[in-house]
Amino acid sequence: MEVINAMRNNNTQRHRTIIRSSIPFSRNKKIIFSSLAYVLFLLFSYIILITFPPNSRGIGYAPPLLPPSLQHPLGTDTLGREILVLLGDAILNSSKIGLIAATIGTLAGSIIGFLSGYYGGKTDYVLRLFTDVFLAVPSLLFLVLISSLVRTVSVEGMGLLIALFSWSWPARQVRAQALSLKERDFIYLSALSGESKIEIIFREMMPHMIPWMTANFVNAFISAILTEAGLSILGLGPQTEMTLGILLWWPLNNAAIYRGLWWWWAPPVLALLYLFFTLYMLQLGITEIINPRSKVV
Amino acid sequence: MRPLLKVEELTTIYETGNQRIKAVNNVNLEVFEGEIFGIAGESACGKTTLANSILKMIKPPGKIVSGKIIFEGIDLLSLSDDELRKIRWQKIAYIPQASMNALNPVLRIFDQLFDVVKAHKKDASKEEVLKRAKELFASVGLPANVLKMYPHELSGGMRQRVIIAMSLILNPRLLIADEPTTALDVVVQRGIIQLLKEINKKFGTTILLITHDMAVHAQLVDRLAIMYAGKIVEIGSVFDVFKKPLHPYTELLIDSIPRIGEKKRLTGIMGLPPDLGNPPPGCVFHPRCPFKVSGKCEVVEPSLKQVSKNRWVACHLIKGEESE
Amino acid sequence: MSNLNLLELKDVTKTFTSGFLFKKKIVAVDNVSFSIPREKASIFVLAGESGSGKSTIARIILGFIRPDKGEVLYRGRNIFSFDSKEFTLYRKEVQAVFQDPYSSFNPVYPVDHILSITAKMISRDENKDIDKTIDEALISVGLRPSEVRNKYPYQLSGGQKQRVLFARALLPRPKLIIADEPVSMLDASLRAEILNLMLDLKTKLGISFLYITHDLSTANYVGDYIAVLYKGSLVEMGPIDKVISDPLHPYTKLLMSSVPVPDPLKRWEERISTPETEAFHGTTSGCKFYDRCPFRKDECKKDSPPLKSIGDRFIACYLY
Repeated sequence: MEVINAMRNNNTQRHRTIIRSSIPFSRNKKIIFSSLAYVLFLLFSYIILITFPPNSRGIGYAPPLLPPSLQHPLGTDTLGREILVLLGDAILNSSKIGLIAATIGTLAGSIIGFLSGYYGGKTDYVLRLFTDVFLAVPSLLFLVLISSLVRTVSVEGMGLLIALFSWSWPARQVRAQALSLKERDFIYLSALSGESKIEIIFREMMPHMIPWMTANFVNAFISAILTEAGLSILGLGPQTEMTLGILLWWPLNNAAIYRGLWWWWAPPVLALLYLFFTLYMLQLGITEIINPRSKVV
Repeated sequence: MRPLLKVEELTTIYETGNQRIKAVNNVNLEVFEGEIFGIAGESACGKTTLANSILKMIKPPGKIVSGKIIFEGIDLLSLSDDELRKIRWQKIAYIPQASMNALNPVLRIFDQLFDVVKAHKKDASKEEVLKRAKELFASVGLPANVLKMYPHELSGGMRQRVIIAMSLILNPRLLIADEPTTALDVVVQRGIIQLLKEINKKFGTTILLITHDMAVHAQLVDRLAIMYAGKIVEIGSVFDVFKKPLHPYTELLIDSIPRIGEKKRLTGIMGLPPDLGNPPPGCVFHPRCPFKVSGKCEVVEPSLKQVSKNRWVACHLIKGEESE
Repeated sequence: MSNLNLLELKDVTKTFTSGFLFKKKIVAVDNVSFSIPREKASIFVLAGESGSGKSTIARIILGFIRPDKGEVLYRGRNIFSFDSKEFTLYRKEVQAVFQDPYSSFNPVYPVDHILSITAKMISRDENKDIDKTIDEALISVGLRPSEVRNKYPYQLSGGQKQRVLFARALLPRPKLIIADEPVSMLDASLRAEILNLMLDLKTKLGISFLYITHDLSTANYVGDYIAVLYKGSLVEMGPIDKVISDPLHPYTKLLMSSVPVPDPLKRWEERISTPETEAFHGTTSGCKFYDRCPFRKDECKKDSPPLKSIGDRFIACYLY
């Protein structure tokens, strides 16, 4: 053990310190690859939307249920809409929902978790109770309940709704981090060196929490997209706009599988799988950096 | 007399990325039956790696690249895992660093003892083990009711005694203990040192004691080896090594220990421990050695040579190995 | 009068409660009083084993924990009654070095980070070049600035890190440094340099130390005065040479006789009794050392012995 420590001291390339800059992020293969894959995906969607005319997503644009051809690369659906264009819309909107839910969830959760761990005592007791309740509650069921009560919901609204259940896991994680950090020797020394409490939180503690917050963000992102898909398949999604879930709802509700209309149900499924694997790889990459031991030498 | 354990030209390396470190570098040692043999050295000198190598417990990125470990006439490194398992705990017991913290927190002490025995002797019965455990606990100074307790109910010193009893339960010939007294309070430490001495006397168990604490060696061992940067630099009886150290590192190390009653200014050893990935040429200690002979020490690596009966040194300054 | 003392603790007591339903009370610090004089720089040793309360006392003195009872007086004034300006001054004059050089640095930043922050503690008032101040401090602890500046903690050895931490502690020009086991995680050959550094800082810069340790050999080497703690209580106090060569309290005697001497010719002869009984911090009455004391009497069980002065020494034992 000491020999490895001695080696580490001499090895400037690989070091076990937690992030000090974005350098470890940009060197990790998984992160680079998955980030690129995701960005390309978004780019692809955007290009589709520019290329095709806006009315291609309208009802009656083309004959219904056409199989894929050069003119209609993914065919058309039962309303005569261009599926490729719908897919582009869906990818962007689902990502939007993921972004809203993950941003709000991670931020709110991190703040709550941090306050809980840092202050301890009664604050911790109350906030922790609150967090645990939201963690324990079956979020999907509640979302189903709430969605069915709210008549129509926009894409943004969906994001906010899912955010309601995205903050509790980050809160718990950040709380654990805060608890462990505040007892570290270097935090005490920072206080002895004249740093104010605010300076300690943002200058000394934050760099340690950011990697976790990032991992939580990606986690919440994937989770939100899949949750939205689940809700939308049940018919509880933002019906007025197109998301991956809604894109799946249509073929499922029209017996597309039974009827062999594979170009209708395959694209959203594949898109969801692609998103899932890409973002999961991103998360693995981030976790590798946070916890170098998880990486096999 | 044939030694109980003979380490012959053992080299263990750690390989990561672009670095290849010789944690144990061509080590030769003999341990005789019934003695207490100490291995001393500071951090990263390789003593723990040496202990792990003896029982072939080196995991990647570590690797034993050469040498033999001859125990009871057989080279342990040539044995298969199954054959080695018969030796571990039954013939050679090993107490790793901080093992008192490695007791299973959810099992009672007796259950853990029984598990150990069962793992090596499948036909052991609970009654047999209980009887033996009680005897052993009495020898290590633990009351029998400890068998029913959980590890968290015991103090550090008591847990260490449990670990020692566990290691002796199959009556091994050799006990290897790595830093058994570090992290214990000084009064408790004295008890453990005493205990090891008694075990050696009463059961005749040979003990290989590894610690950086020179005072513990002074109190306990019969013979002592000093390690530096993966190499053995001196071997001798504990009296000889302490009273007449031959290697400059040994001398400086002993001088840097504060002694109660003496207030003269301590010197320590100047410089830093070497970079094992890029060790200095010649004698690995020469950059810090106040006695170095320029021309020889920086160029030629001194090998461990016998200078008298039971006395070895790896230093160009010591006579007894003129031929080069 | 307490104005003669740099630091004075008066009947400081701190109890911790653990557990949720079955509240277990641990009296970590039990009515501890001692003082470090002002007139001449000295090294005051606070000796004790694990569970003695010495680390808690360090945190109380540094203002991180409030005692339940008692006062901590700095130059005669209670530190817990300081306003923010006075407390800022206190933080400058009383600094600390902790045990673990590895965890004392934020691994995210190079070591310069904490040095600049600390240097700014005084630079706000005086217009001094921060870099120069830092370099001077590093040199005064025996480091070459080039070997340490802009390096990350993992690039330095334990001994180097600990020296940097001493340099950091020196930056605000303290009068007192609380050193909590500063050498116990360093190799034997490196301890001497740090111990010598402490001695030099005392004689050359007039800085007093509160040296907290369980290692009586190093305590003997650097210390002038010693206070021995057992399970939160002070059992013996006095000039270090006297206490070590002629311990009065049975615990101090046991402690002294258990220190292994690095000399194979001086091995222990008597056997000490085995094993120690469980650490018990309950609120029992009487002397805490009762269970292990070879000299115990009935009166020892009733009330815990008060600290009595015998000449220039203090002892809490009914034998005296």
